[in-house]
Amino acid sequence: MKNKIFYIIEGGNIAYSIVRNLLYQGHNTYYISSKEDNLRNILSLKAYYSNLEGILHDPTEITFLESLDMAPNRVGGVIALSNDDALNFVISWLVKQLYEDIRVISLVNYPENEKLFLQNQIETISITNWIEKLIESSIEYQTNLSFFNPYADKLAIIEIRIKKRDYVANKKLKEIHMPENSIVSMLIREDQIFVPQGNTEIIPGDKLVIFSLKSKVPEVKLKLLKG
Amino acid sequence: MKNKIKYIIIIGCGRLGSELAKRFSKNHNVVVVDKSPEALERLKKYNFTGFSMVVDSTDIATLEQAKAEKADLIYIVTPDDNLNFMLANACNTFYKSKNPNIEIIARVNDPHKKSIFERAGLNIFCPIEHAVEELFGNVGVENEE
Repeated sequence: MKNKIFYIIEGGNIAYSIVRNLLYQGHNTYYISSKEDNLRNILSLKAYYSNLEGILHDPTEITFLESLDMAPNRVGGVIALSNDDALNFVISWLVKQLYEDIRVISLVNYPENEKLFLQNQIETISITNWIEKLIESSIEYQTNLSFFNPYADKLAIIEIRIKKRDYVANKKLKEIHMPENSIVSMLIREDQIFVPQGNTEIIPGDKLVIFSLKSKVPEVKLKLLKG
Repeated sequence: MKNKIKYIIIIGCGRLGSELAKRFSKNHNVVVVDKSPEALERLKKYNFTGFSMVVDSTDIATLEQAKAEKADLIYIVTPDDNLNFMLANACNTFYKSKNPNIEIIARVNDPHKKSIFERAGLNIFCPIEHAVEELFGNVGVENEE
């Protein structure tokens, strides 16, 4: 993704790490909050990144949101991260009203509220749901490889969308010779998910999910794209 | 039709909510919802005859628990404008489609926030604005300026 503008609205620790991540990836990031403490905390990142701006303002004010003048081709997304679902909803709803084509993502603290956000075309992050699903799946399949185990920090799961000019496009899986300690474990084509076999041909637009050791990630990416 | 007994839900049991509950419970079925049991204590003083529920009202499951789909009238009168907006929006999205006769009225505490509610086409009630209009309309006060 080319460098974009992201607006992170409210939120404490989660906002801090998301802002840091976006800055690290080179995106221009605005943090907007009505709370001075949160703002001060996040603006401490300015010491390392110059592409960060902080705005102390009530993010639910229509005229303020209008003044941000977001252009869909430049803005990567607006992310509302407060621990108050109602506040997140008002912000997300307003941004959707004012800027139809902008991607809006909101933290949802109470899982019950999620359906209201989704009904309004707001993407959601629900930490409670994630943890629930992780626990559920580890109970259901009795897997040794849970997300809470010590291997997790050595293992990487990469998702790559294949484009026409990539090396692997229109090749069979067996022709690719993946680097050692990596495996293509899933293929997502349109809405279908399946486990590819050696004879499966990879076509542009496919998404590959690859398990590998973290140290192998650059090698895997290079292989898929350049051969 | 005028004398039909209605099912009324009041979310938020502050001064406004409890006062509404007191009035309506004489002739209608009323359910009052608040997240704090202390707030619902107010109702005891009033010989309130309806139901009261302690529910975490930050969650739209509140509406389900109060059987919002069967309501004739829903008053959302918490002191948090954002919450009022979210709950009113949820009523519209999930219940008004099933039962178009539900009337939803949300309280707007901060007159500056009124335009957000109006944008969403919600029925609102703004006590401060009403009070200001009433006082401003009083010519005696205006002349003294």
